Amino acid sequence: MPILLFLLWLVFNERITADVIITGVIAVLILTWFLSRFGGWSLKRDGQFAARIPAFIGFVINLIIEMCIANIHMIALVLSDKPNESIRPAIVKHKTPLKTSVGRVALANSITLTPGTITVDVGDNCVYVHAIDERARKSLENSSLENKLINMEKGL
Amino acid sequence: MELFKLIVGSVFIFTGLFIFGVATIGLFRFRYVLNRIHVAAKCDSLAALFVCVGLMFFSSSPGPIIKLAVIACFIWLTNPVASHLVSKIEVETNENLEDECKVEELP
Repeated sequence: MPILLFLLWLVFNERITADVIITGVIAVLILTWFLSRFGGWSLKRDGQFAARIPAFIGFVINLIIEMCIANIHMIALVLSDKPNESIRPAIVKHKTPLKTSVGRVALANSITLTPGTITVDVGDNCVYVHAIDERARKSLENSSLENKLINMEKGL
Repeated sequence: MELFKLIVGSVFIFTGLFIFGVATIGLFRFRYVLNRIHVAAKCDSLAALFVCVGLMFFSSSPGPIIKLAVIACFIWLTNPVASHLVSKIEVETNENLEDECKVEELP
């Protein structure tokens, strides 16, 4: 995490000089202290997340493909004759076996990113989802994204 | 090579602009907040990604490319949180929610 923050700082500056590096190191040290004090950061947790980077890249690629498919459906819905009559919005409860809060937040965000479904609230073992029509509800039930998240969550 | 970059970049940018346009049309065609969020917030995040990828093809040095990638990442992190909060407030405060959509179970 400190290395990532420092790289971000260098990217924002676009040049490597002494004053940039000194300011960056001081800011990164303060931020790391703050994160370990209030954000629950530790080296062990960093290692756990670093081991999941390959799985996470696969997850993101899968998410982008699903977004494109759902977006085409959404565009067809918007450009259809009577969009207000052809949709059937509903709020459904979707049970999820994800245990950690990080996993549930990732699931909620990926549901919200897919057009057609919005996460309204996150409960202990379920998420409440507003789906715009039947097709969005079906895609929610058999999504490969959740299985990927379950695999990534093991041992966290 | 230059021509190839120009063509691919233009295709990405125009796809993104098309999705932006459709999202704006959809914003006016739907009637209710929760239906509007679907097009307004989500199509935008994909369109912004397309535009950022398209702009990456036009920049020659690595600095702007990394910056565009960071912009796309932050849009993808913040956009779902913002639309989630809008929908949560709407569901919690609207008393006539049943008129607008079928409610199976409320939080």
